[in-house]
Amino acid sequence: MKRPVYPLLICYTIGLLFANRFPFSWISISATWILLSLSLLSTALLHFRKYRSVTGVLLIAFIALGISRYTLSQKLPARHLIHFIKDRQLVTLEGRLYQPREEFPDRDRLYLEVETLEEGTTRQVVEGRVRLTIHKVPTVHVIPDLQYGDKLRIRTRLYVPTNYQNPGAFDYKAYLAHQGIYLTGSLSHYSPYLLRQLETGGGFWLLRWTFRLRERMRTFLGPLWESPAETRALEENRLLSGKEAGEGIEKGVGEDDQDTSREEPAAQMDRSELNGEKGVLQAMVLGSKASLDLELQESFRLSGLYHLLVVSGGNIGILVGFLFMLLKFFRLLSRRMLVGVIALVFLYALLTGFEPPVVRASIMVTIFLLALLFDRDADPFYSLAASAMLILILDPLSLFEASFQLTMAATAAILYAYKFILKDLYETLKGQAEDPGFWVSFRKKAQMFFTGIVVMTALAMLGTTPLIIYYFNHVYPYGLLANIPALPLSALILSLGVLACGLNFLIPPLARTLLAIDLVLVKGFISLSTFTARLPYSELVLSTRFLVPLLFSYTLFFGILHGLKRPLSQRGSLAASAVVLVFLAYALVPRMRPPPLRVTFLDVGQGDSAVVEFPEGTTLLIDGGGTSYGNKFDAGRSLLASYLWHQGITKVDVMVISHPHAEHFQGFHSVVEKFKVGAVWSSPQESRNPAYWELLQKIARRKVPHFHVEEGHQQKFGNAEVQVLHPSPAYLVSGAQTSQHRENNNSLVLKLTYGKVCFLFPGDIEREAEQFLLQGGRLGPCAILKAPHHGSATSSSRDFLKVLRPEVAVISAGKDSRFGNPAPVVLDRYRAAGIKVYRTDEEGAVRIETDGLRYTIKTFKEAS
Amino acid sequence: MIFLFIYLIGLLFTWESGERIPTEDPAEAISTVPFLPENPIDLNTADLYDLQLLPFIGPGYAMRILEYREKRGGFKDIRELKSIKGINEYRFEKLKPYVTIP
Repeated sequence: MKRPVYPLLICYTIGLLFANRFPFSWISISATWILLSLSLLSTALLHFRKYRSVTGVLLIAFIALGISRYTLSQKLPARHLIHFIKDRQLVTLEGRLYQPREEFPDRDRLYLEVETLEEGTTRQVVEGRVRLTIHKVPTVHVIPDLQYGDKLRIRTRLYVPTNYQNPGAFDYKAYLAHQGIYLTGSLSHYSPYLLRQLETGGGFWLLRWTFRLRERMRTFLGPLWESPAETRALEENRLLSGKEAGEGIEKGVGEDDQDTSREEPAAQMDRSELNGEKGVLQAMVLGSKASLDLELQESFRLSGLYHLLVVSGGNIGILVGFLFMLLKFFRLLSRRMLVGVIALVFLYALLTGFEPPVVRASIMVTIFLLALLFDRDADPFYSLAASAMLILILDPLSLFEASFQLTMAATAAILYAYKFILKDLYETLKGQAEDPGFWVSFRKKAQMFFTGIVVMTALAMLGTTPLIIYYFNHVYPYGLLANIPALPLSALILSLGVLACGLNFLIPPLARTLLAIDLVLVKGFISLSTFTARLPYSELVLSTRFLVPLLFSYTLFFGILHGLKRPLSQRGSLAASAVVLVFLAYALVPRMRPPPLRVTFLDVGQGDSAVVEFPEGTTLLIDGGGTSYGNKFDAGRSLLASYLWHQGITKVDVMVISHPHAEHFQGFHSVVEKFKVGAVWSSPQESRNPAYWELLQKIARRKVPHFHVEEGHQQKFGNAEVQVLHPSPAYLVSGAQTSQHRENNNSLVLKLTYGKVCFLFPGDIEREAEQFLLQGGRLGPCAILKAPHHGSATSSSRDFLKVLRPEVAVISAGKDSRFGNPAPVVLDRYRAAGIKVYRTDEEGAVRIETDGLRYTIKTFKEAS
Repeated sequence: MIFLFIYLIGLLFTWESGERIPTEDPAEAISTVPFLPENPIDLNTADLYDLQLLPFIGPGYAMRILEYREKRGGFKDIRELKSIKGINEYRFEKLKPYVTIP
């Protein structure tokens, strides 16, 4: 074989995909054995019968290699912590920090390589990694200076990470698992009762040294979030018992906290000036994402410049480019220097914390430089394939990561741009210049530079867009334009920043001057991004539906491009017509049938949220999920918005708040901010919940019409009809219970009818409201019931079920045992009535599709 | 040479999948389940949050304990806890193993 890496890479990838599809199953194992014995057999044939080529053997062997490599990467050692504990178990751990502490404004994260596990009186030697979150609150205790390699003793509860199982949701579990983390824990504060530093200065010396260097660079580049003013403000927001808690902090902590109060003036000063800029610079040079302002992050995202912001492979590219320019300028470019450059690349990768994207880029650069070293005309595509192979052998899980796929796609696209578009262009340009004067050659060079940047940016965008739609459902149309000035600018900022950091150890005044200049550049960079982000339509939401047409148009575009150069062969035109046919089939077949009405009960943990997508394209959102336990997890963004975007929905026609309880409305905050909302329906009851007031104000500020709806209200959505059955004005007045129950009983009850199929969404009503509805005779048989009040024992009374006679009940509840939902009594009741029960806590999101006659049910439980 | 340059620009487009990683994770919320410290908590030096590691002790009780300590200038006996409103014999018995006065 002339170019063996391509087919081998393909086979290896097939192996990985196969093993990923059937993890640990007998299929994978037997497949490995069969393939291995096949390749052995063919090797034997090769030996004895002079079988012609090695290719077949190698290909088969590489599929087997892929399967076994993936399986190996998934297998946890026998002494792994996870085998010894249960979810939420209280334990004492001892271990070492394998990464420096990661700092956020309100919390720190520690990464612990566990050595021993104690619980009760038993003590075991174990292994495994744990991520610990420590909340930063003012405390009388001295916060220990935790560094990489320190040995700690920690008391915590360990949690097994879980996912919300919704279509289009982010796989958090896999994300952590890829970092080798299968358990997380959290500490309420820094306290010697929870955390003790046993030893300092352990770990690998080289890493310790690098992390110390990184720390020094970071202090040079600017401060982090250590202003006590900030911490105190956060403290006030925390859900303690209101005023009292605030006073307590003053009394209990205020005076004792001398350590931080001394630093206060300095810290405050730093906050007021250039803090955003310093954060951006730190993120770009050192990769400390924690220092980034959230708003700035959002604006970089909207302007399509986010990839320049975080330390990624790009930094490696820029640095190597910068080094090359320096070397070329001083005429020092030699083979020996290339080796030096490779060494520097790895040092920098270490400095940025050895994040996977950076490591990947280092590998890619190294392979490329080596190829250059040995063979001047090395095919860059070939180097790309070789680096992909190496990366996937070292870390097979990266194949399933968006960032790996995006890197490969972008690089391949740019290489393509050069090979098939720019090369010819450059050659014609060069050819024209027979005797260039200074200006002519300068103009030529400038022309080459700019066309180069424009074409490459465009191709990189084209290459990554399908993946971006697939993973993020967003496209940032100005990214292309914004990247053209931003690419060189960010290269300048990064190289100046790194140079300044380096010089700081030699000539500090010069370094400070450079830093000041660099900060001005960063300011420009930020303004560029905020300007772009504010333009209209800076963000387009595209459903994954668009992928196939997009890919089709790519095939068409590139087919034409190549077809113009070289007319297609017979086989080529056959393939082209096949592609067109497949696409037409894809586009036309689903249109034969009218689209169904789709109701999706999302997995939002303890809470309710159902999305109704009507056949004619309108959307009704019934309740928004949310967490009631005062943490900052944004259910709206992470659960609702990600689902709606996945479906390509940007407008919510009606948003229904059944009643003012957090687990029903909290997620709507983000929906109101990020989506166009046609109208809001809520039940006409008052609430003293401040978070609810905030939501209502947000709705009013955005001028979304807000209606109090009552019994009798109805609206048509195409052929479907939504009726409000409850509460009636009479009921609202008569309710005289404690506020919690009253608010539940005053929930909106909605009935959705489409043809012969009926859905009932009764909110959180309890037995009393159920009885009231029955007495009013407003209820009739209804096929699909959302179990009232998360399947709690207060609701789903026997009479209620008897009249409704549902065929299917969906219980929307969380795994958190604190609420005890659904109640076993209620489950029994449903079972006894012969009603099929679906639970979002067990089966994930539940989707029901109907054409008005029949319905189908699909759940989104992930393989565990 | 020019290939290298192009290759490097390609790297510029490496994305961080971090783009959509939720920064807040429900598991990171402050636990509402009591922690039961390994070593007994020193009533005279513990702070507001240390006290909340104890069974039954939420922010309200922790506050009252701190107020008591402030007013009396410290605890001399752990039984003094019983004089705090809401801490009855049963709760005290549950707390006893986890508190101390050195």
